[in-house]
Amino acid sequence: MSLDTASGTGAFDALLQRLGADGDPARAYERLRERLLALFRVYLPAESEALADVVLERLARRAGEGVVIEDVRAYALGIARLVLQEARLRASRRREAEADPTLQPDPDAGAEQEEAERALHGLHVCLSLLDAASRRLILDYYGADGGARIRLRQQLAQAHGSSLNALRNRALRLRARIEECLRARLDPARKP
Amino acid sequence: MPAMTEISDDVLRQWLLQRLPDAEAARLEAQLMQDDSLLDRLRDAETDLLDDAARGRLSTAEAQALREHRLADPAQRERLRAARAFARLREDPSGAADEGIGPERPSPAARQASTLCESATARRRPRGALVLAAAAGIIVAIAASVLWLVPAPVAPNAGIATYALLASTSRGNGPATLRIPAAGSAVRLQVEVADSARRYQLFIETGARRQSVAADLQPRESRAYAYIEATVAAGLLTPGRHRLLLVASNGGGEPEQVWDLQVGER
Repeated sequence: MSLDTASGTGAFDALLQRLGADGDPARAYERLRERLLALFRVYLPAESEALADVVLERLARRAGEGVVIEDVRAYALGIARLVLQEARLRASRRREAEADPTLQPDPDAGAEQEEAERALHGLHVCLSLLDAASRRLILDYYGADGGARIRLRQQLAQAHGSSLNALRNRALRLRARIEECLRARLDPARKP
Repeated sequence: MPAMTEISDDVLRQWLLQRLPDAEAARLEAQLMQDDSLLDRLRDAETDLLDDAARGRLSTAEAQALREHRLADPAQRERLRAARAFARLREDPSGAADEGIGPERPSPAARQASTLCESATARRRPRGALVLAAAAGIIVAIAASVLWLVPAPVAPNAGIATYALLASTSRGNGPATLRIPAAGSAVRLQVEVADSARRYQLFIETGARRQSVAADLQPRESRAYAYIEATVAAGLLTPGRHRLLLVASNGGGEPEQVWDLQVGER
């Protein structure tokens, strides 16, 4: 949770109260934030976290002001669209000001190759940290291409006796773990 | 609440690439706010998109959209790096195969199609286009983040440096630059073209002087790509700054693509 303190505890409480009308307010808040993150990841992935927080701040402010919000998610989407519009305008201005990216210095091919080798080695190590079944699952799940991809995943779900959604969730979690492990190995100085 | 509708993986991919009509995108936005499963599916679609990019399976337009809309984000680039490692592991006999991984291993033809460019002097090539180009001793000098997303069509012939030039992604930003490190040697160009049914001509322009490199070039096709191939004689590659022009034979002389060409040191 990262509401700006300027929006005030009262505003945040008002939002939580509104979100809690149908159950656990903290969980509803986190879920709303996940949705906003996913939305902004589609359009401006580099700014998704910051933009989601802006929406939540504005939403809390409205709730604190006593604005009647019948459908919080729909209201949040309305704010998100405005925030996205503003962010796109800023991004467009930045792009105009930037130099032509195609004329940036050439990449260092040797360094690229070295990094690719390091990444492959790192992936081997990260996969070896998984148990055999998980390793097999992640490589199978992401192993196919195109139309075969869907068929394979359906077959895998059947073989595992689970639904496609459950299998997807498991594969996504494993993939996130592997990517985090790889990131830590390749950029040890960087915090997650 | 809008009615929940079944959304295909391809629609999600096009949404991620910002290639959907506004109305359809708005419908997905509304559904995302209500439909829990769409969150996970979207994440899955993003991973598949990056995997396909790493395997060289995106169309030119998709690769361009990925670069424009997603790879500005460092986190996306990190995810792509991981996807590239997965792609290499998948093709690496010392890795995936030993573990019995990969129910549908790519055919030799698919592997060939996923290469960016290579010379016949290349040894067994590592996967990943820039890596491959480096291993083959080839210098490819246009915007790299485009290059390694898009497969070049075929393996060129022996003994000559080959450069793959993809359809420019930067019409609004001016031409990309191809740098050839030294004058005095012929080079081969494989140039992606928009229309496989047309004939093309390549020119080198130096100042106001335009010289033909090759004429009446008939495009070849490889998977989703059409390209022409031409050898640029050493005599045309004098040190200095030039422009390379791709012109459709019946296109009224207007270049379809233009690249800056730097031969030797700047």
